[in-house]
Amino acid sequence: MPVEFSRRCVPYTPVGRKLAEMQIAIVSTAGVHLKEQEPFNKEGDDTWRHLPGDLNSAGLMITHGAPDEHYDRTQAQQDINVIFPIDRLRELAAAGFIGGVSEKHWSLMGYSLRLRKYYDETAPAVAKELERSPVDAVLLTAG
Amino acid sequence: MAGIPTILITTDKESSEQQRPPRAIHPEGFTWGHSLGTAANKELQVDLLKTALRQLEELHMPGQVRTLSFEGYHP
Repeated sequence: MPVEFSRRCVPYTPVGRKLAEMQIAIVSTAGVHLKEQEPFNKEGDDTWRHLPGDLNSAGLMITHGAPDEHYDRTQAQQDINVIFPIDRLRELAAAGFIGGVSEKHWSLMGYSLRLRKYYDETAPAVAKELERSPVDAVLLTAG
Repeated sequence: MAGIPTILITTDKESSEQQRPPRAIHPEGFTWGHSLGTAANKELQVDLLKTALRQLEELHMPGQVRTLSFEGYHP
C-alpha cells in the first residue's frame, strides 16, 4: 500500500501569508477527544471528532487502539500538549508568533483496518471541512 | 487557493516518508507518543512547535522529512 501511495504526486500547497497572520488548526491522529465525547473504537475507527478551539485541555483524554509499545501515552496523559499542543499554540498566538488558533480542530484515531477507506473517504472529508473553515495552515500530529 | 498548507511532526520517519508529506519534521530520537517531547519539559514543547511552524515559511523539499535535533529530551 505505501508503495502505491508514494507514486502519487506530493500535494504541496504554498503558503501565502506570514506565520504571524495565520490561523492554525491541529489535525491529530493521536486518538484525543473530550471526555464527554464518544470514544474511538479501539478495534479500528475511521471517524473523527471536532474539538472546539476554546476547550479546556484538562478535559481531553486518549482512546487509541495501538499497543503501548507503539504509542506511549504516559507523557500525554500528564500533559496532552505532548501530542495535541493546544495550550502551546494559544501561548504562541498570545505572543504574536502565529495569527491565531482555529475555532475548531480535528481528531482521529489513526488506527483503521480499512486503510483504503481512510485514504479515499476519511482524509478527503476532513480536508474538505478544513477548506471551508477560516484556517490558513494545519499542524499534523500522530500518536 | 486550493488546499491547506500542512506541517507534520512525526516520530516515525520511515513510515511518514512513504507517504511523502509536503512538509514534515522528525525530532531525532523521539519515540512514539512523544511528538513534542515530554510532559515535564514545556520549554522543549515550545521550541519544537515553533520550529515546526517555521517550516511553513521556509523553503522545504516536498515529500522529504527533515530530521532535526532538539535539546532536553529525556523520556
